[in-house]
Formats: sequence, structure tokens, C-alpha cells
Amino acid sequence: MDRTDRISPWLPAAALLVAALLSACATTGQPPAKAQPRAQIQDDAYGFTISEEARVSGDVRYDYDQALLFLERGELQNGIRLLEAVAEAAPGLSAPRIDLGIAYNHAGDLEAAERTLLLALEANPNHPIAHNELGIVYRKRGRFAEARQSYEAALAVYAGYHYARRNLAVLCDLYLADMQCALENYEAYMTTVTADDEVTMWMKDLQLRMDQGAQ
Amino acid sequence: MQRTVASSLRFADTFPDHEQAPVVLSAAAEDLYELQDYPMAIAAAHKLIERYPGADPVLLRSGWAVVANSSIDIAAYQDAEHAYVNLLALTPPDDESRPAIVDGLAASIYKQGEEANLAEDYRAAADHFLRIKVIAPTSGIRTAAEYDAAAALIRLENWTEAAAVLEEFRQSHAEHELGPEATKQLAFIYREDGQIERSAAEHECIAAEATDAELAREALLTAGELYDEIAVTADAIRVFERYVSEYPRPLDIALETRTRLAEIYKAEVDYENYYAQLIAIVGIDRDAAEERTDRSRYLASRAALVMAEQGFERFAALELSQPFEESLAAKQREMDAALAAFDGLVAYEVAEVTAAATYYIAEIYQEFSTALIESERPTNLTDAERADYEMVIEEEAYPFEERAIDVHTRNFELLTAGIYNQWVQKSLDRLAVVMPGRYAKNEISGGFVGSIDSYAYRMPNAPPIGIEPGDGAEEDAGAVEATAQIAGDVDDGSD
Repeated sequence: MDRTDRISPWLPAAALLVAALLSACATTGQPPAKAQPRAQIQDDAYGFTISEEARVSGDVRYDYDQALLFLERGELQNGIRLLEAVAEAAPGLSAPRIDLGIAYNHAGDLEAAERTLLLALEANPNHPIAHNELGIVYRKRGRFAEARQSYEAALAVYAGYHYARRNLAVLCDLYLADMQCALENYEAYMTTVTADDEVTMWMKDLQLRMDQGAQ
Repeated sequence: MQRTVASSLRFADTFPDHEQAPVVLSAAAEDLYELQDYPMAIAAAHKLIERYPGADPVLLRSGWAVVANSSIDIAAYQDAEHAYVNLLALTPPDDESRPAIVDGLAASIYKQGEEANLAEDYRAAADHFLRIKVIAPTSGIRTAAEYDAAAALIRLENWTEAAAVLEEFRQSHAEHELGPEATKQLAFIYREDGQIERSAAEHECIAAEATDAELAREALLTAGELYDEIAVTADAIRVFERYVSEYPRPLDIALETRTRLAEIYKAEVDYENYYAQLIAIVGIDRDAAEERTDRSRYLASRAALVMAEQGFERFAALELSQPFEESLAAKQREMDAALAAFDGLVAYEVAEVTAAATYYIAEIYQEFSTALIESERPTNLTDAERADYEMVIEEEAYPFEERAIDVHTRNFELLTAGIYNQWVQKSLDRLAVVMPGRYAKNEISGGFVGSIDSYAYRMPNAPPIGIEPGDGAEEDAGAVEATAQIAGDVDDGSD
């Protein structure tokens, strides 16, 4: 008796199998742990000093200084390229990323500016420069509420930080149409400088508009 | 039957040299298989095969068949493969059972591939599936096995080998029902492997082969997008043109494709086709009636804006020269046409385009004012007449400048409605020039940190370090320094 006639073909659901194979999701890895900064801020009535613990080689310091030379000479792309390498080598330091953010802003790449400034704030959440520069970037991107939060974050670290104070006043004046906020911040700004004729004129114009609005 | 089997087995064991012993043992093995006692059936069949290698080939074939089928039933696929190989060796080439045996052999290998797949050993799975075309090339399962081998190789992201398998599959089995699926897989593989142009070509094949119209449409669009992705411009244009011609619906996708096509033509400096696409986009959206969508309206508004900008350029290019009345009439005609075009954009109710239109309307007034001021003066005027002429020109120009400022201001006030875009900013930039005291207010930057690990900030009105507050002369010195710092730090305002 020959049993070979019993053999029946298996019917592979090939298409279904392939579909299942192709629909499988890729796994995502965990992000690498960020280097935690050790930053200190000391302040007094007239200013503040931020110090971050820097465990970087002399080469990295040299590259940072070279990058700044490029940026000060207006060689943005060279400066950015070098600063990216410095930031990679010193992920726990905020300065390279703040400077990168400023450079990207000057280069017109607001997306990169925002990204690097946010990374700077991960390294040091209390750096007024990073908050102020991020506020400028947000304003340019039309994200006014976030710009306001950024300026206010800078001022929360140091209320006399005149850059953020004036920028907040301008934001309220021009973009948020919040004249009271603008006036208060112009006034606060004027207490941080000995004179600013331009802002004095703006305040007069603002007061005039507020008076006209009140009538 | 069980008694008969037991008796047969006892007989075979008691009288192994009896001439009927192989026959009895064969019958017992087959009966055990019928009784679904597969381990016992295999044992009996093996006893037959091993004890009587010189037995009648028919008996040996039956024994191997019992081993093969029983092994399949207990999922011992490797044993089954071994049995089928031996069974096949004993089967004459012209035996009518041979195709079924080949299929069985292929199936036993295929099942090993499936098991490897389940164990996520895709390399082994692919190897098993690929063995079938060598060991059992005439089996019915071969084509599916090759396809599944490719699937396993795709799981391994072994794009080169997977592509080779599928290319061979498609060539060897041109009419196979899995052919279109293979083409899809090849399109996917080439895309993953970075062979975008080949992937695009495969997508074109999919579009040509597909019986499903929706699949064909999607494949053709993907082909165009892939050519576009790698800047194979001629093919991108060819495929996109074919797409918009063959698939005017869905409306949004057709207009998106035309928009991209227009961008490509523009990049190619083919302005004739660029404007032709823009005109088509505006017309198709306008004629779509109730089919119009927010997206189609948006795309049409963007296209219409570009066309209106052309009108602005024509208007702005006209200078007011002598004879004045003639050039003035020509410029006014272009001005009216441009204003009408930008006014028409407002009907799209797209915030960005409305802001752009408003900006340009202001610019039209500004340009007309400037053109009047800079117009060519008649040469035959007396000094008194020239003075009067200048006064009239200024009086005519001034209201247009006022209207320009008013329209820019209204555009900038869109901010209060939560609308901010480049056009609103451009109006602000204009206002900053004409009304700097009110609008020229740029942010100030603290500048580069300057030190990799420290930053020191002093307020501009801080006394010099080491000087106590209250020393008037020293504070004055600080004021100059502070003012200089502010002036130097003003952000360039480039947006």
C-alpha cells in the first residue's frame, strides 16, 4: 500500500505573512543619559556670575575660543561647525549651546537656534542668556506666549537682567498689545540703566496711547 | 485491527527470517498509521527498512511513506524530509505518485521554514524556503516558498538578497498571482535600500499592473514622489503630469501634486509651465463647487497670490515719465488690476494670504506715492511753474503714502486676532521705517557668552567694580559705557 497519495499541499498564507512581517514596528532605543551640570549662580544688587564645572580638555577650550573668533568675524558657518563639535565634547556646559543658538539665529536658522537653546537650558535651566535668546527666537517664530515665558524665566533668575526686561517690554508693546505690561517693564528696565533716550521716547508714546485709549 | 497489528508485530519479531516477515511488518506499519499511532507506525516502518534493506522496493517505499507521513503528523519535519528523500529515490521517474512525493518533500522543508520563522530565526527560515527550489523544483509550493524566503530576508533587512530572490521570482513566475505582490515588495526593498530610482520604477510597474484603481493611483503618486525625492526631475515631471491628468480626484491630492509640479517647473526656470500649473490650480479649485476643501482653497489661494504678485511687479515696473498723462494712465490701469487681484484673494479666507494681500495693497499705494514723487518732470517749466508742479505732486502723493501706512497698520493689527506670519512682520518692518518711534523696536541680545564655563553680568547702571554707589563722577562714567553696550547689542532684527 502506497501512502504517498495522502500528501496534501500546504497552502502558505504568504501574502498575509509578508504583511505581518512588514507591519512589525521598529523598536526605539532609550535616549542617552545627559551629563548633569554642576552650575552655581552668585548674585548681588548689580549683577550675577554663573559658574559651571567644566571637565574639558585644553583642546576643547581652544576650539571654543576659535569658534568665538569665527563668530565675531562674521564667519557664521565656520563658527557653528566648530561650536557643534565643542558642544558634543562638552554636553554638560551651557555656553557652547547658547552661543550656537545665537549663531543659528544670526544665520536665520530659527529651528536650529531653538533646538540648541533648549539643549543649553537642559544643561543649565537657570541661565538668563539662554532664556533671553530663546525668547527672541520664539518671538521671531511668532510664538509670543512662549517668548513671554522665556523672558519671564530669565527675569525670575535675575530681575535686573536688562536685556530680558527690555525685550519683554517690547514684546508686550508691539506683539501682545498689552500696554500695561509694556509700561511696567519699560519702567523696570529704566531702573537698570543710567539712560536710554530711545526707550524714554517709547514710554512717552506708550503713555500717550494709553491715555487716548482711556478717553 | 489492533489485535491483528500486535499479532503481525509478534510474528515479525518471532520469525524475522520468515519470507513473509517484511510483508507482515509493512502491513503492520500501514495499519498503525491508519490507527493514527504514529510513533509505533514509524518504529515498525523503520524496523522493516533497516532489517530488510533488500526487500521488495514496493515494501520499502511503503515503509518510507509511512515514516514520511507519520513524521509530518507528529511535526517531525526533518525526519519527514529524510523519509521523502528516500521515498523519492525508490520511486521510478515515470511513477504517477512522484509529483505528490515531491510536493510532500517540499512541504516538509517548508514547515521547517515556518518553524524557523516562528522562532524568529529568519536566516534559517530563508535558507529552508530557498532549499525547496533546489531539492523540489517541481513542487507546487516552490513559488510561495521563494516569496516567503524574500519575506524572511526582508525581516533580516538583507535587501540585496531579498531583491535578488524577488527579481528571480518575478522572472521565473511571470504570471504568478503573487507577481504584483513581489513588485510591491521590490518597491519597498529598493526604497529601504536607498535605491530610490529603482523603487520609483517598481512603483510605476505597480501602477501599470494593478487591477485596483486606488492602488494604481497611490503607486503612481509614490513613483513621482520618489523621483522627486532624488531630483530625477524629468521623470518626476513625467509621472506627476501623468498623475494629474489621470487622477483629477481626490481633489486635494491632485492640487497638491500640481503645486509640487509648479515648484519643480519654477526651479527648472520653466515659467511657462509654472504659471500654467498655477492657473490650473486656481481654476480647478474655483470650478470644484461643493467639492472644494480647506486644503484646495489654501493651495488655490497660494497660487492666486503668486499670480497677483506678477501683477504687482508689472505695476511697479512702470515709471511715470513724460508724457505724464500717458504713463500715469498706464500705471493706473496696472494699479487697478493689481488692487483687484489682491482684493480677490481676501475671498479665499486664508489668513496668510489675506495678510499677504493686505501687505501688497499697502505696497501698491506706497509704490504709487513713490512713483509720483520720482516721476519725470516736464522740462519746459518756469521756476514758478516748477514750484507749483512740485507742490501738486507732493499733495497727490501724500494721501497714497498715508493710505499705505494705514493699510500696513491694519495688517499689523492682525496680531491682535492671533494672526502672525511673514506678511504681518513685513508690514511691521515697513512701519518701522516710516514710523520708527512707534514701531522700530527690536530685541536686544546679550551677545555670545564668551567663556566656556562662566558668565558674569553687570547691570548697565552698576558702579564700576570697587567703587561705592553714590560717587557721581564714577556713575557718569558707567553711564557712557552702559549706553555703548546697549547700542552694540541691539539685535539686527532680521526675521
